[in-house]
Amino acid sequence: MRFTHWPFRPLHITNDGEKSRVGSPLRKLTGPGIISNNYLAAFQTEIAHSIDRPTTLIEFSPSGEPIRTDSPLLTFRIHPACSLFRVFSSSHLSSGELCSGCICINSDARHARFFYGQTQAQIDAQLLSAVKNVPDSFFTIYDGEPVCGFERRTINKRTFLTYDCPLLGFREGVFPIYVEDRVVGVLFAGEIVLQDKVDFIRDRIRGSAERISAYFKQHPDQQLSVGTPRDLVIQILNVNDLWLQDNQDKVMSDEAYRAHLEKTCQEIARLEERLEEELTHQRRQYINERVGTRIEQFRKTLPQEPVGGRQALDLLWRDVEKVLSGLVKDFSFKYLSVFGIPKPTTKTAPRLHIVARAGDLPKRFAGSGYETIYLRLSALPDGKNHGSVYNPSEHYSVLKKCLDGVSPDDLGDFSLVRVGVPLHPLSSIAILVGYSEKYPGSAKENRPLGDLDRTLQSFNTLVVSSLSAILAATSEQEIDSRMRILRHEVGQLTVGLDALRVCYLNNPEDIRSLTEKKAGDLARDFEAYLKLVYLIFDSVKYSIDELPKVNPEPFLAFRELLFKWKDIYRLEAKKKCLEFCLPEIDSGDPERPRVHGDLNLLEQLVYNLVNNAVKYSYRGTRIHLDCAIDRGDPSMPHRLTVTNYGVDMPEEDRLYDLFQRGANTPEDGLGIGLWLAKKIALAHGGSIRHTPILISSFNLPLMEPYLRLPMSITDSAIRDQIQEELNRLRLSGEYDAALTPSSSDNRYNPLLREVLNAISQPTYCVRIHVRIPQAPKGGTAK
Amino acid sequence: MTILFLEDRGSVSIHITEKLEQDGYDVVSAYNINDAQSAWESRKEKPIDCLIVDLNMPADGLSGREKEETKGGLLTGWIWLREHVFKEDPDTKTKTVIFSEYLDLFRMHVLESEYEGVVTIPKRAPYSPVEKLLKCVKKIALEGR
Repeated sequence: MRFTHWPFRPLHITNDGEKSRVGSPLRKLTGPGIISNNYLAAFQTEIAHSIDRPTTLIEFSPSGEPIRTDSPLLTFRIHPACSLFRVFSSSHLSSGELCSGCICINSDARHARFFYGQTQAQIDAQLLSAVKNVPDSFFTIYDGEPVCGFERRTINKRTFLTYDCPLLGFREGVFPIYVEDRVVGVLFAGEIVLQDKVDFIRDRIRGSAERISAYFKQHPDQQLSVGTPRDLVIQILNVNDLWLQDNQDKVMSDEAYRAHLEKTCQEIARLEERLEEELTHQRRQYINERVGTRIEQFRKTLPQEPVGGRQALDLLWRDVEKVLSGLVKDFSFKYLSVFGIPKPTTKTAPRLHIVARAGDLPKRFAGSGYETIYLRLSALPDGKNHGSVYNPSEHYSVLKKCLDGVSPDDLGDFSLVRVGVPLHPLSSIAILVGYSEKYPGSAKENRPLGDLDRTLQSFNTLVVSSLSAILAATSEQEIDSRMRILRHEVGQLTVGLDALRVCYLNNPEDIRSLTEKKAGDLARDFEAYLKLVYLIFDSVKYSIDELPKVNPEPFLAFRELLFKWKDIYRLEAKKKCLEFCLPEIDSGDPERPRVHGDLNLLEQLVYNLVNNAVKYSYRGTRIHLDCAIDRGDPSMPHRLTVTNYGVDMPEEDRLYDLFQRGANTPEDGLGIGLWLAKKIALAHGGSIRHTPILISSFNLPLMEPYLRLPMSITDSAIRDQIQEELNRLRLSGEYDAALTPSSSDNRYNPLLREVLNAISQPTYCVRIHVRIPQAPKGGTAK
Repeated sequence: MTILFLEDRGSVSIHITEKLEQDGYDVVSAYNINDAQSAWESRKEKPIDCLIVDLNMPADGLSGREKEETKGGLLTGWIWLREHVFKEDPDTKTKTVIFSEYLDLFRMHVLESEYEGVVTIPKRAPYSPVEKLLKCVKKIALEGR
């Protein structure tokens, strides 16, 4: 079963059991709906108020009692746009088996794989054991995917587990439900769906609780007893029966709603799915790429065997130092130091040189001067000498006793000590890694010494894995930040679509009352919303994947490529009082012949440039679009220009790099647009550049309004300067070219505060030029 | 009833503004903090009965210190509300709706006690966020009578 509606509007709101209960009026209901787990609402409510983000997902009964209600349908897909709840068959439960046919997606699949497909007895044992016996530290489940952690926690004296997937970034609580010290069910609560469903879900849970409360007020004779879980379930189901009987009209579907919105819903559902896929893909690709590249770079800096020497080590340490700094910064290390051991000598005591370090060394090392740590030869065990440090079978115990200032108690802070094979530049090294007490896997676990050595196969591996961890964490942060922006960008459009629906399409009467013009505008806005969402998706997709092969075709640039932007940005232009300016459209214009290029890619290119222009224009300005052949160039390429008036865009090549954004840019951006535009231009055998020209040291659209203000609230020196600049700009024609004309419906009338606050912002004319050969190499242009 | 609607995206605000006007509300559509502050300062002449505020927008119009608190613009709307609206008139909280994509970040950085009474509506939601917004405005209008 798939959800096709978004914004989500359930076709029914029902109790799980109602659907298949003989005689139930809801038995015939099909399609998406909210399946409410009301029978545990009393528990849910309490728990929901104890945690931040309650979401009921599933319950089952470790005790074997059928606390689940029945439905033949096993799977309700968890969609990011809606909140669904899967149901189990009571027959499965009563027979002591969990449903093994349950198909879950995304994060849910992870714990589904963990919990499902096992017999109920196995799950009982596993979960109850986890709840009762897990120490206060992490344990992990590794199923071929990134490691997910379970942690035992307590809120309001209630013990539960949190399930935390660091890669996918979700967390949920696993709560055993007790009635009279018996576990009657396990409830998962957390943010398995997007966080912004919190209010909705909280309201729903609260609503359930209120209904139950109301029921027992109406039926004081029926006290909420906890005799057996089954009694409890039956009582609460009765509440739902009552409620459903009284509220049939509220839970049934609205056919008119469906008829008018089917297309919207399907499109949005597709987009949502695509977004989720894209997010997952992006994460993996990006992290793999970043980590892989950096590791490869690091490997190249490593000396090749058997070459050694000071120079190789210096190179190595330089990178190690970076790694250590990163570790201390990004993780919960208190200190981390790496020591090098010189070749064995009989003349001097062995010394450990600190060749790299980060963070603060333990105080007890302070006396050693930080540069050198002497082994206390006097502390050598009987029958050992300093050469034992280099004996793989003995080095750990020798070091343990001989490191200056280190007592056996300190070993709690040292998880790793590694001494490699002498004479090899990469392995004649000791590493001590200090963990903070909270860090999982600390020496509190008393791991055997042999384990430590086996854990560290070589120094190289340690460095590379540390580097990977840091890079992965950094990449996660970066990709999270970008995904947040992506969600935001898409979110603005989907909420716009929702507004369109709610404001105009919610019932047939609304639609019938629309004028032809209004209906036309709405239709264009609808298309624009969808178009922009697809373009955003594609731009993100291209930032990871290769561009598709250029498939050139001749098309008329103005009609097919540029003109549509008036419609696509109608709403933003209206809000910001912008005006798009294009030359008159004439298919016979010799200056503007057909463009030969890949229509889809060039559309993407124009989108990125126009989007850039809309974002960074001042209110009340014009955006000029043109695409003509450049007769000044012997090859006469097409020259697409997008010109806007607003904030500066410095002439820096780095702006065309992936994920780069201009300094002080006032709006969110993915840092993909210009990079992608360049990539597309190059793929067509063309080029891209931009020219920022400071045309005024004032905010152009505010200059005239400033002069109209009373002298008493303005600065006379500024007035004079503005007047002078205004005269110059008018003479040059720049003023009229830049500003929305006074006759326009979109004329900008700034408020006093805006004029006074923003008048000193300089205005730049930023023009982006894209050159595309008339017939690209390998193209099919005639 | 007059509604101050602070939202910098036309794709979000224009249709909602039209709908609110159709429903009989007087809407002051603000593009940025300067616009919003102008409307707020004029409330003696034109009382504001309800505020709908987006969080993420350029911080132009805020002071340097205030800008630093906006988390790069993500909480601009909130900083303006806190520093300029709620400080002057704490009762406005119950007439304020924060309509934003960034409520998770907001809750992470702002104590619940600071925005007690303010309604928060996420823009991306499993239900219709706009429907919820309109209902909320209606409720504020009814309570204001």
